[in-house]
Amino acid sequence: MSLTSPRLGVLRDASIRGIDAIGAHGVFYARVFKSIPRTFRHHPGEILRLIAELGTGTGALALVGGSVVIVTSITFFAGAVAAAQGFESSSSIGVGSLSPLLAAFFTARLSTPLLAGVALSVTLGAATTSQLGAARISEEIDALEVMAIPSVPYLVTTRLLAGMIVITPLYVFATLGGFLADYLLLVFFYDVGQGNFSHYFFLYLHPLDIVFSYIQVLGMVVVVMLVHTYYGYTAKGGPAGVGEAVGRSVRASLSGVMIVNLLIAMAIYANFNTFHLAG
Amino acid sequence: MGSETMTTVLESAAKPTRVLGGVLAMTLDALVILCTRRFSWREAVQQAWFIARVSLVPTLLVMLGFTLLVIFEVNLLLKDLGALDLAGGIAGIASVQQIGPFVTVVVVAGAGGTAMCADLAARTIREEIAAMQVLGIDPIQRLVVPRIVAAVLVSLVLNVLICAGGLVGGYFFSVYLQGVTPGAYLASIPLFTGLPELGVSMFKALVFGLIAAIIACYRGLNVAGGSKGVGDAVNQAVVITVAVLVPVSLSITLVQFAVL
Repeated sequence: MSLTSPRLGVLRDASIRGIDAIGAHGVFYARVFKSIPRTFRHHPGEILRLIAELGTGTGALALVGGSVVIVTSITFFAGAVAAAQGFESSSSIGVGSLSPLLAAFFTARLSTPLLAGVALSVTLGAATTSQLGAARISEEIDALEVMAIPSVPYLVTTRLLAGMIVITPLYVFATLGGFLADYLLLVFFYDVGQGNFSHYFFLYLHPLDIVFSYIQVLGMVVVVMLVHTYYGYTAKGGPAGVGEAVGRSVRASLSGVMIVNLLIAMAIYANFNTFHLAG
Repeated sequence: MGSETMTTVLESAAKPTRVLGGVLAMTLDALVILCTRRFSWREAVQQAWFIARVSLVPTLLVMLGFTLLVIFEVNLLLKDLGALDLAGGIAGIASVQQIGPFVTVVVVAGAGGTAMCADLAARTIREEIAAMQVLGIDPIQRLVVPRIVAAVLVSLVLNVLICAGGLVGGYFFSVYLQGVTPGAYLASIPLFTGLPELGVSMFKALVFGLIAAIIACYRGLNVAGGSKGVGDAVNQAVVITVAVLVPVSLSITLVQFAVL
Protein backbone atom coordinates (compact mmCIF):
# COMPACT_ATOMS: atom_id res chain seq x y z
CA MET A 1 0.00 0.00 0.00
CA SER A 2 1.31 3.39 -0.89
CA LEU A 3 0.87 6.60 1.09
CA THR A 4 -2.35 7.30 -0.76
CA SER A 5 -4.27 4.45 0.88
CA PRO A 6 -7.56 5.80 2.21
CA ARG A 7 -6.91 4.89 5.84
CA LEU A 8 -3.58 6.70 5.91
CA GLY A 9 -5.22 9.64 4.19
CA VAL A 10 -7.83 9.85 6.93
CA LEU A 11 -5.12 9.70 9.58
CA ARG A 12 -3.10 12.39 7.83
CA ASP A 13 -6.15 14.65 7.46
CA ALA A 14 -7.02 14.19 11.12
CA SER A 15 -3.54 15.12 12.30
CA ILE A 16 -3.47 18.15 10.00
CA ARG A 17 -6.86 19.23 11.36
CA GLY A 18 -5.54 18.88 14.90
CA ILE A 19 -2.55 21.12 14.18
CA ASP A 20 -4.88 23.52 12.37
CA ALA A 21 -7.12 23.73 15.43
CA ILE A 22 -4.19 24.54 17.72
CA GLY A 23 -3.16 27.30 15.35
CA ALA A 24 -6.70 28.66 15.11
CA HIS A 25 -6.96 28.79 18.91
CA GLY A 26 -3.59 30.53 19.18
CA VAL A 27 -4.38 33.16 16.56
CA PHE A 28 -7.76 33.86 18.15
CA TYR A 29 -6.26 34.28 21.62
CA ALA A 30 -3.55 36.55 20.25
CA ARG A 31 -6.23 38.73 18.64
CA VAL A 32 -8.14 38.86 21.92
CA PHE A 33 -5.11 39.97 23.92
CA LYS A 34 -4.00 42.42 21.25
CA SER A 35 -7.33 44.24 21.38
CA ILE A 36 -7.34 44.83 25.15
CA PRO A 37 -6.25 48.52 24.89
CA ARG A 38 -8.80 49.17 22.15
CA THR A 39 -11.54 47.61 24.25
CA PHE A 40 -10.76 49.82 27.22
CA ARG A 41 -10.78 52.88 24.95
CA HIS A 42 -13.90 52.16 22.96
CA HIS A 43 -16.20 49.84 24.92
CA PRO A 44 -16.02 50.61 28.67
CA GLY A 45 -19.83 50.71 28.85
CA GLU A 46 -20.11 47.25 27.32
CA ILE A 47 -17.68 45.88 29.92
CA LEU A 48 -19.85 47.29 32.71
CA ARG A 49 -23.00 45.82 31.17
CA LEU A 50 -21.34 42.42 30.87
CA ILE A 51 -20.14 42.51 34.48
CA ALA A 52 -23.73 42.93 35.60
CA GLU A 53 -24.93 40.23 33.22
CA LEU A 54 -22.25 37.66 34.10
CA GLY A 55 -22.75 38.22 37.81
CA THR A 56 -26.48 37.75 37.80
CA GLY A 57 -26.90 35.40 34.86
CA THR A 58 -29.64 35.48 32.25
CA GLY A 59 -32.96 33.72 31.72
CA ALA A 60 -33.89 30.90 34.05
CA LEU A 61 -30.55 31.07 35.86
CA ALA A 62 -31.23 34.65 36.97
CA LEU A 63 -34.39 33.34 38.63
CA VAL A 64 -32.38 31.47 41.29
CA GLY A 65 -29.94 34.35 41.79
CA GLY A 66 -27.47 33.92 38.96
CA SER A 67 -23.89 32.78 38.88
CA VAL A 68 -23.06 34.15 42.33
CA VAL A 69 -25.63 31.96 44.07
CA ILE A 70 -24.80 28.88 41.98
CA VAL A 71 -21.03 29.15 42.47
CA THR A 72 -21.46 29.84 46.19
CA SER A 73 -23.81 26.91 46.73
CA ILE A 74 -21.45 24.57 44.87
CA THR A 75 -18.44 25.62 46.96
CA PHE A 76 -20.62 25.49 50.09
CA PHE A 77 -21.53 21.83 49.58
CA ALA A 78 -18.01 20.95 48.49
CA GLY A 79 -16.65 22.56 51.67
CA ALA A 80 -19.13 20.49 53.65
CA VAL A 81 -17.96 17.27 51.96
CA ALA A 82 -14.34 18.20 52.70
CA ALA A 83 -15.18 18.93 56.34
CA ALA A 84 -17.13 15.68 56.77
CA GLN A 85 -14.39 13.57 55.19
CA GLY A 86 -11.75 15.40 57.22
CA PHE A 87 -13.62 14.81 60.48
CA GLU A 88 -14.31 11.13 59.82
CA SER A 89 -10.76 10.35 58.68
CA SER A 90 -9.10 12.26 61.51
CA SER A 91 -11.35 10.80 64.18
CA SER A 92 -10.61 7.31 62.85
CA ILE A 93 -7.02 7.88 63.97
CA GLY A 94 -8.18 9.61 67.16
CA VAL A 95 -7.53 13.27 66.36
CA GLY A 96 -11.07 14.37 65.54
CA SER A 97 -10.62 17.63 67.42
CA LEU A 98 -7.94 18.63 64.91
CA SER A 99 -10.46 18.46 62.07
CA PRO A 100 -10.92 22.30 61.82
CA LEU A 101 -7.25 22.39 60.83
CA LEU A 102 -7.94 19.95 58.00
CA ALA A 103 -11.06 21.87 57.04
CA ALA A 104 -9.13 25.15 56.80
CA PHE A 105 -6.44 23.47 54.72
CA PHE A 106 -8.75 21.62 52.33
CA THR A 107 -11.34 24.33 51.88
CA ALA A 108 -9.00 27.22 51.25
CA ARG A 109 -6.48 25.38 49.12
CA LEU A 110 -8.42 22.64 47.36
CA SER A 111 -12.16 22.50 47.37
CA THR A 112 -12.85 26.20 46.77
CA PRO A 113 -10.49 26.78 43.82
CA LEU A 114 -11.24 23.41 42.20
CA LEU A 115 -14.99 23.64 42.52
CA ALA A 116 -15.02 27.32 41.62
CA GLY A 117 -13.19 26.35 38.44
CA VAL A 118 -15.82 23.76 37.54
CA ALA A 119 -18.62 26.15 38.46
CA LEU A 120 -17.15 29.00 36.41
CA SER A 121 -16.78 26.80 33.40
CA VAL A 122 -20.40 25.64 33.53
CA THR A 123 -22.00 28.97 34.49
CA LEU A 124 -20.10 31.94 33.05
CA GLY A 125 -18.41 29.92 30.34
CA ALA A 126 -21.30 27.94 28.93
CA ALA A 127 -23.55 31.03 28.98
CA THR A 128 -20.93 32.95 27.01
CA THR A 129 -20.63 30.24 24.37
CA SER A 130 -24.38 30.06 24.03
CA GLN A 131 -24.67 33.86 23.57
CA LEU A 132 -21.84 34.22 21.10
CA GLY A 133 -22.88 31.08 19.24
CA ALA A 134 -26.42 32.39 18.83
CA ALA A 135 -25.03 35.75 17.66
CA ARG A 136 -22.83 33.97 15.10
CA ILE A 137 -25.65 31.75 13.80
CA SER A 138 -28.11 34.64 13.45
CA GLU A 139 -25.37 36.57 11.59
CA GLU A 140 -25.20 39.32 14.18
CA ILE A 141 -21.41 39.08 14.25
CA ASP A 142 -21.25 39.55 10.48
CA ALA A 143 -23.60 42.51 10.83
CA LEU A 144 -21.21 44.08 13.36
CA GLU A 145 -18.31 43.68 10.93
CA VAL A 146 -20.39 45.24 8.16
CA MET A 147 -21.01 48.26 10.39
CA ALA A 148 -17.22 48.53 10.76
CA ILE A 149 -17.22 47.55 14.43
CA PRO A 150 -14.40 45.03 14.95
CA SER A 151 -16.19 42.08 16.55
CA VAL A 152 -13.35 40.62 18.62
CA PRO A 153 -12.81 43.68 20.86
CA TYR A 154 -16.54 44.36 21.13
CA LEU A 155 -17.75 40.82 21.82
CA VAL A 156 -14.81 38.73 23.03
CA THR A 157 -12.29 40.95 24.81
CA THR A 158 -15.07 42.71 26.72
CA ARG A 159 -16.21 39.31 27.99
CA LEU A 160 -12.70 38.30 29.01
CA LEU A 161 -12.20 41.55 30.95
CA ALA A 162 -15.68 41.42 32.50
CA GLY A 163 -15.03 37.84 33.60
CA MET A 164 -11.73 38.82 35.20
CA ILE A 165 -13.42 41.65 37.10
CA VAL A 166 -16.55 39.79 38.14
CA ILE A 167 -14.46 36.94 39.52
CA THR A 168 -13.38 38.99 42.54
CA PRO A 169 -16.80 39.30 44.24
CA LEU A 170 -17.67 35.80 43.04
CA TYR A 171 -14.52 34.42 44.61
CA VAL A 172 -15.22 36.21 47.91
CA PHE A 173 -18.68 34.66 48.11
CA ALA A 174 -17.38 31.24 47.05
CA THR A 175 -14.67 31.22 49.74
CA LEU A 176 -17.04 32.44 52.44
CA GLY A 177 -19.54 29.77 51.37
CA GLY A 178 -16.89 27.09 51.84
CA PHE A 179 -15.86 28.38 55.28
CA LEU A 180 -19.48 28.73 56.40
CA ALA A 181 -20.06 25.09 55.46
CA ASP A 182 -17.01 24.01 57.50
CA TYR A 183 -18.32 25.92 60.50
CA LEU A 184 -21.90 24.70 60.30
CA LEU A 185 -20.99 21.07 59.72
CA LEU A 186 -18.21 20.76 62.28
CA VAL A 187 -19.77 22.84 65.06
CA PHE A 188 -23.44 21.92 64.74
CA PHE A 189 -23.35 18.48 63.14
CA TYR A 190 -20.19 16.92 64.55
CA ASP A 191 -20.09 18.90 67.85
CA VAL A 192 -16.46 19.89 67.52
CA GLY A 193 -16.93 22.86 69.83
CA GLN A 194 -16.97 26.47 68.79
CA GLY A 195 -13.83 27.55 70.60
CA ASN A 196 -11.92 24.54 69.32
CA PHE A 197 -13.12 25.29 65.80
CA SER A 198 -12.09 28.93 65.78
CA HIS A 199 -8.76 28.17 67.46
CA TYR A 200 -7.56 25.53 65.02
CA PHE A 201 -9.31 26.96 61.98
CA PHE A 202 -7.74 30.41 62.20
CA LEU A 203 -4.42 29.07 63.50
CA TYR A 204 -3.87 27.19 60.25
CA LEU A 205 -5.72 29.42 57.82
CA HIS A 206 -2.76 31.23 56.35
CA PRO A 207 -3.76 34.52 54.66
CA LEU A 208 -1.37 33.80 51.80
CA ASP A 209 -3.29 30.59 51.02
CA ILE A 210 -6.31 32.72 50.19
CA VAL A 211 -4.25 35.01 47.98
CA PHE A 212 -2.81 31.98 46.18
CA SER A 213 -6.18 30.39 45.67
CA TYR A 214 -7.43 33.71 44.29
CA ILE A 215 -4.54 33.63 41.80
CA GLN A 216 -5.54 30.09 40.85
CA VAL A 217 -9.13 31.15 40.27
CA LEU A 218 -8.03 34.17 38.25
CA GLY A 219 -5.91 31.94 36.01
CA MET A 220 -8.83 29.58 35.58
CA VAL A 221 -11.28 32.34 34.62
CA VAL A 222 -8.94 33.54 31.88
CA VAL A 223 -8.78 30.02 30.44
CA VAL A 224 -12.56 29.61 30.78
CA MET A 225 -13.41 32.85 29.02
CA LEU A 226 -10.88 32.32 26.21
CA VAL A 227 -11.96 28.75 25.46
CA HIS A 228 -15.67 29.47 25.68
CA THR A 229 -15.55 32.62 23.56
CA TYR A 230 -13.53 30.75 20.93
CA TYR A 231 -16.12 28.00 20.57
CA GLY A 232 -19.00 30.49 20.59
CA TYR A 233 -17.34 32.83 18.09
CA THR A 234 -16.62 29.99 15.66
CA ALA A 235 -19.96 28.15 16.05
CA LYS A 236 -21.52 26.88 12.84
CA GLY A 237 -24.31 24.62 11.67
CA GLY A 238 -27.59 26.23 12.70
CA PRO A 239 -29.31 25.97 16.09
CA ALA A 240 -27.97 22.44 16.59
CA GLY A 241 -24.47 23.79 16.08
CA VAL A 242 -24.86 26.17 19.02
CA GLY A 243 -25.74 23.31 21.34
CA GLU A 244 -22.82 21.30 20.03
CA ALA A 245 -20.48 24.27 20.50
CA VAL A 246 -21.60 24.63 24.13
CA GLY A 247 -20.92 20.93 24.78
CA ARG A 248 -17.54 21.03 23.06
CA SER A 249 -16.49 24.17 24.91
CA VAL A 250 -17.46 22.74 28.31
CA ARG A 251 -15.38 19.62 27.61
CA ALA A 252 -12.39 21.66 26.47
CA SER A 253 -12.52 24.21 29.26
CA LEU A 254 -13.02 21.64 32.05
CA SER A 255 -9.88 19.83 30.94
CA GLY A 256 -7.97 23.09 30.48
CA VAL A 257 -9.03 24.54 33.80
CA MET A 258 -7.98 21.48 35.78
CA ILE A 259 -4.56 21.30 34.14
CA VAL A 260 -3.96 25.04 34.59
CA ASN A 261 -4.99 24.77 38.23
CA LEU A 262 -2.61 21.86 38.82
CA LEU A 263 0.27 23.74 37.21
CA ILE A 264 -0.36 26.97 39.14
CA ALA A 265 -0.70 25.09 42.44
CA MET A 266 2.48 23.11 41.85
CA ALA A 267 4.35 26.26 40.87
CA ILE A 268 3.21 28.01 44.06
CA TYR A 269 3.21 25.36 46.73
CA ALA A 270 6.15 23.20 45.66
CA ASN A 271 8.57 26.05 46.36
CA PHE A 272 6.71 28.01 48.95
CA ASN A 273 4.77 25.98 51.47
CA THR A 274 2.85 28.14 53.91
CA PHE A 275 1.71 25.22 56.06
CA HIS A 276 3.87 24.67 59.14
CA LEU A 277 2.37 22.58 61.88
CA ALA A 278 5.19 23.17 64.31
CA GLY A 279 5.29 26.90 63.60
CA MET B 1 -54.30 45.75 36.96
CA GLY B 2 -53.28 44.58 40.41
CA SER B 3 -54.68 41.11 39.98
CA GLU B 4 -52.94 40.79 36.61
CA THR B 5 -49.53 41.53 38.17
CA MET B 6 -50.42 39.04 40.89
CA THR B 7 -51.14 36.37 38.30
CA THR B 8 -47.81 37.04 36.54
CA VAL B 9 -45.95 36.75 39.84
CA LEU B 10 -47.76 33.51 40.66
CA GLU B 11 -47.05 32.20 37.16
CA SER B 12 -43.32 32.84 37.44
CA ALA B 13 -43.26 31.39 40.96
CA ALA B 14 -45.05 28.25 39.77
CA LYS B 15 -42.66 27.71 36.86
CA PRO B 16 -39.85 25.95 38.74
CA THR B 17 -42.41 23.70 40.43
CA ARG B 18 -43.86 22.80 37.05
CA VAL B 19 -40.38 21.97 35.70
CA LEU B 20 -39.68 19.78 38.73
CA GLY B 21 -42.98 18.02 38.15
CA GLY B 22 -42.08 17.53 34.50
CA VAL B 23 -38.72 15.99 35.39
CA LEU B 24 -40.32 13.63 37.92
CA ALA B 25 -43.05 12.64 35.46
CA MET B 26 -40.46 11.87 32.79
CA THR B 27 -38.38 9.85 35.26
CA LEU B 28 -41.40 7.78 36.30
CA ASP B 29 -42.38 7.25 32.67
CA ALA B 30 -38.85 6.13 31.87
CA LEU B 31 -38.76 3.74 34.86
CA VAL B 32 -42.10 2.17 33.98
CA ILE B 33 -41.16 1.83 30.33
CA LEU B 34 -37.78 0.36 31.26
CA CYS B 35 -39.53 -2.44 33.17
CA THR B 36 -42.52 -3.06 30.93
CA ARG B 37 -41.73 -2.30 27.32
CA ARG B 38 -39.18 -3.57 24.84
CA PHE B 39 -35.74 -2.13 25.48
CA SER B 40 -33.95 -0.73 22.44
CA TRP B 41 -30.54 -2.31 22.80
CA ARG B 42 -29.12 -0.87 19.64
CA GLU B 43 -29.75 2.73 20.70
CA ALA B 44 -28.37 2.05 24.19
CA VAL B 45 -25.13 0.56 22.84
CA GLN B 46 -24.71 3.39 20.35
CA GLN B 47 -25.33 5.99 23.03
CA ALA B 48 -22.95 4.31 25.47
CA TRP B 49 -20.25 4.36 22.80
CA PHE B 50 -21.05 7.99 21.99
CA ILE B 51 -20.90 9.14 25.63
CA ALA B 52 -17.74 7.15 26.31
CA ARG B 53 -16.10 8.60 23.21
CA VAL B 54 -16.79 12.23 24.09
CA SER B 55 -15.98 11.72 27.79
CA LEU B 56 -12.76 9.74 27.69
CA VAL B 57 -10.21 12.51 27.08
CA PRO B 58 -11.86 15.05 29.45
CA THR B 59 -12.05 12.29 32.08
CA LEU B 60 -8.34 11.63 31.94
CA LEU B 61 -7.39 15.33 31.98
CA VAL B 62 -9.83 16.30 34.75
CA MET B 63 -8.70 13.28 36.77
CA LEU B 64 -5.06 14.31 36.36
CA GLY B 65 -5.78 17.87 37.47
CA PHE B 66 -8.18 17.05 40.26
CA THR B 67 -6.85 13.91 41.95
CA LEU B 68 -3.17 14.63 41.54
CA LEU B 69 -3.55 18.16 42.91
CA VAL B 70 -5.30 16.85 46.02
CA ILE B 71 -2.69 14.12 46.55
CA PHE B 72 0.14 16.59 45.98
CA GLU B 73 -1.20 19.07 48.53
CA VAL B 74 -2.11 16.46 51.12
CA ASN B 75 1.38 15.03 50.85
CA LEU B 76 2.75 18.47 51.74
CA LEU B 77 0.56 18.38 54.85
CA LEU B 78 1.60 14.82 55.70
CA LYS B 79 5.27 15.67 55.25
CA ASP B 80 4.89 18.40 57.84
CA LEU B 81 3.13 16.01 60.20
CA GLY B 82 5.84 13.40 59.64
CA ALA B 83 3.26 10.91 58.42
CA LEU B 84 4.26 10.55 54.78
CA ASP B 85 3.79 6.77 55.02
CA LEU B 86 0.03 7.44 55.10
CA ALA B 87 0.17 8.94 51.59
CA GLY B 88 -1.41 5.85 50.05
CA GLY B 89 -4.30 5.95 52.50
CA ILE B 90 -5.02 9.56 51.63
CA ALA B 91 -4.75 8.77 47.93
CA GLY B 92 -7.33 6.03 48.50
CA ILE B 93 -9.71 8.40 50.28
CA ALA B 94 -9.15 11.07 47.65
CA SER B 95 -9.47 9.08 44.49
CA VAL B 96 -11.92 6.34 45.49
CA GLN B 97 -14.24 7.91 48.05
CA GLN B 98 -14.62 11.57 47.17
CA ILE B 99 -12.97 12.69 44.01
CA GLY B 100 -13.56 9.66 41.82
CA PRO B 101 -17.36 9.96 41.90
CA PHE B 102 -17.16 13.73 41.72
CA VAL B 103 -14.93 13.78 38.67
CA THR B 104 -17.28 11.21 37.15
CA VAL B 105 -20.15 13.63 37.69
CA VAL B 106 -18.36 16.60 36.27
CA VAL B 107 -17.36 14.64 33.20
CA VAL B 108 -20.65 12.83 32.67
CA ALA B 109 -22.57 16.09 33.10
CA GLY B 110 -20.08 18.31 31.34
CA ALA B 111 -19.11 16.01 28.49
CA GLY B 112 -21.74 13.30 28.08
CA GLY B 113 -24.70 15.35 29.33
CA THR B 114 -23.96 18.37 27.15
CA ALA B 115 -23.51 16.22 24.05
CA MET B 116 -26.70 14.29 24.79
CA CYS B 117 -28.68 17.46 25.52
CA ALA B 118 -27.40 19.19 22.38
CA ASP B 119 -28.33 16.16 20.28
CA LEU B 120 -31.87 15.90 21.68
CA ALA B 121 -32.39 19.66 21.54
CA ALA B 122 -31.34 19.70 17.88
CA ARG B 123 -33.81 16.91 17.13
CA THR B 124 -36.57 18.77 18.96
CA ILE B 125 -35.84 21.99 17.05
CA ARG B 126 -35.87 20.11 13.73
CA GLU B 127 -39.24 18.64 14.84
CA GLU B 128 -37.91 15.11 14.57
CA ILE B 129 -39.39 14.31 17.99
CA ALA B 130 -42.80 15.58 16.91
CA ALA B 131 -42.50 13.45 13.76
CA MET B 132 -41.70 10.38 15.86
CA GLN B 133 -44.79 11.00 17.97
CA VAL B 134 -46.91 11.33 14.84
CA LEU B 135 -45.60 7.95 13.71
CA GLY B 136 -46.70 6.50 17.04
CA ILE B 137 -43.17 6.03 18.40
CA ASP B 138 -42.74 7.05 22.02
CA PRO B 139 -39.61 9.25 22.30
CA ILE B 140 -39.20 8.28 25.94
CA GLN B 141 -39.03 4.59 25.08
CA ARG B 142 -36.91 5.01 21.97
CA LEU B 143 -34.62 7.87 23.05
CA VAL B 144 -34.69 8.61 26.77
CA VAL B 145 -34.59 5.14 28.34
CA PRO B 146 -31.58 3.94 26.30
CA ARG B 147 -29.74 7.20 27.05
CA ILE B 148 -30.32 6.86 30.79
CA VAL B 149 -29.11 3.25 30.78
CA ALA B 150 -26.09 4.20 28.67
CA ALA B 151 -25.15 7.15 30.90
CA VAL B 152 -25.36 5.01 34.04
CA LEU B 153 -23.22 2.28 32.48
CA VAL B 154 -20.61 4.72 31.23
CA SER B 155 -20.41 6.55 34.55
CA LEU B 156 -19.79 3.24 36.34
CA VAL B 157 -17.01 2.41 33.90
CA LEU B 158 -15.51 5.90 34.11
CA ASN B 159 -15.61 5.76 37.91
CA VAL B 160 -13.52 2.58 37.91
CA LEU B 161 -11.12 4.23 35.48
CA ILE B 162 -10.83 7.36 37.62
CA CYS B 163 -10.32 5.43 40.88
CA ALA B 164 -7.61 3.28 39.35
CA GLY B 165 -6.04 6.20 37.53
CA GLY B 166 -5.99 8.30 40.68
CA LEU B 167 -4.26 5.56 42.68
CA VAL B 168 -1.68 4.93 39.95
CA GLY B 169 -1.10 8.64 39.32
CA GLY B 170 -0.83 9.23 43.06
CA TYR B 171 1.80 6.50 43.22
CA PHE B 172 3.99 8.21 40.64
CA PHE B 173 3.46 11.61 42.20
CA SER B 174 4.13 10.49 45.77
CA VAL B 175 6.99 8.12 45.05
CA TYR B 176 8.91 9.94 42.34
CA LEU B 177 8.24 13.59 43.21
CA GLN B 178 7.68 13.64 46.95
CA GLY B 179 9.84 10.82 48.26
CA VAL B 180 7.28 8.42 49.71
CA THR B 181 8.43 4.79 50.04
CA PRO B 182 6.65 2.63 47.45
CA GLY B 183 5.88 -0.12 49.96
CA ALA B 184 4.41 2.33 52.47
CA TYR B 185 2.21 3.84 49.78
CA LEU B 186 0.77 0.48 48.78
CA ALA B 187 0.43 -0.80 52.35
CA SER B 188 -1.51 2.24 53.57
CA ILE B 189 -4.18 2.23 50.85
CA PRO B 190 -6.39 -0.38 52.60
CA LEU B 191 -6.19 1.53 55.92
CA PHE B 192 -9.02 3.86 54.96
CA THR B 193 -10.45 2.30 51.81
CA GLY B 194 -11.96 -1.15 51.52
CA LEU B 195 -14.65 -2.96 49.58
CA PRO B 196 -17.59 -1.13 51.28
CA GLU B 197 -16.04 2.24 50.38
CA LEU B 198 -15.60 1.10 46.78
CA GLY B 199 -19.25 0.02 46.82
CA VAL B 200 -20.36 3.45 48.01
CA SER B 201 -18.19 5.04 45.36
CA MET B 202 -19.84 2.96 42.64
CA PHE B 203 -23.28 3.72 44.09
CA LYS B 204 -22.50 7.44 43.96
CA ALA B 205 -21.40 7.14 40.35
CA LEU B 206 -24.62 5.30 39.52
CA VAL B 207 -26.84 7.95 41.14
CA PHE B 208 -24.86 10.79 39.56
CA GLY B 209 -25.02 9.26 36.10
CA LEU B 210 -28.77 8.72 36.47
CA ILE B 211 -29.45 12.31 37.53
CA ALA B 212 -27.17 13.78 34.86
CA ALA B 213 -28.88 11.75 32.12
CA ILE B 214 -32.40 12.61 33.30
CA ILE B 215 -31.70 16.35 33.47
CA ALA B 216 -29.92 16.36 30.10
CA CYS B 217 -32.74 14.46 28.40
CA TYR B 218 -35.48 16.57 29.96
CA ARG B 219 -33.82 19.84 29.04
CA GLY B 220 -33.07 18.59 25.54
CA LEU B 221 -36.63 17.48 24.85
CA ASN B 222 -38.18 20.67 26.28
CA VAL B 223 -36.20 23.20 24.31
CA ALA B 224 -37.88 26.31 22.93
CA GLY B 225 -36.73 29.11 20.68
CA GLY B 226 -34.08 29.06 17.98
CA SER B 227 -30.33 28.83 18.26
CA LYS B 228 -30.27 30.84 21.50
CA GLY B 229 -32.74 28.38 23.00
CA VAL B 230 -30.57 25.36 22.20
CA GLY B 231 -27.46 26.99 23.64
CA ASP B 232 -29.34 28.01 26.78
CA ALA B 233 -30.80 24.52 27.19
CA VAL B 234 -27.37 22.89 27.13
CA ASN B 235 -26.00 25.55 29.46
CA GLN B 236 -28.85 25.11 31.94
CA ALA B 237 -28.63 21.34 31.82
CA VAL B 238 -25.01 21.32 32.89
CA VAL B 239 -25.44 24.06 35.52
CA ILE B 240 -28.46 22.36 37.07
CA THR B 241 -26.75 18.97 37.07
CA VAL B 242 -23.62 20.19 38.85
CA ALA B 243 -25.66 22.29 41.29
CA VAL B 244 -27.91 19.31 42.15
CA LEU B 245 -25.16 16.73 42.36
CA VAL B 246 -22.90 18.45 44.89
CA PRO B 247 -25.59 18.38 47.64
CA VAL B 248 -26.47 14.81 46.65
CA SER B 249 -22.81 13.89 47.07
CA LEU B 250 -22.82 15.44 50.55
CA SER B 251 -25.94 13.51 51.54
CA ILE B 252 -24.53 10.19 50.37
CA THR B 253 -21.25 10.90 52.18
CA LEU B 254 -23.03 11.72 55.44
CA VAL B 255 -25.22 8.61 55.21
CA GLN B 256 -22.14 6.53 54.45
CA PHE B 257 -20.36 7.78 57.58
CA ALA B 258 -23.45 7.21 59.71
CA VAL B 259 -23.94 3.64 58.46
CA LEU B 260 -20.48 2.23 57.76
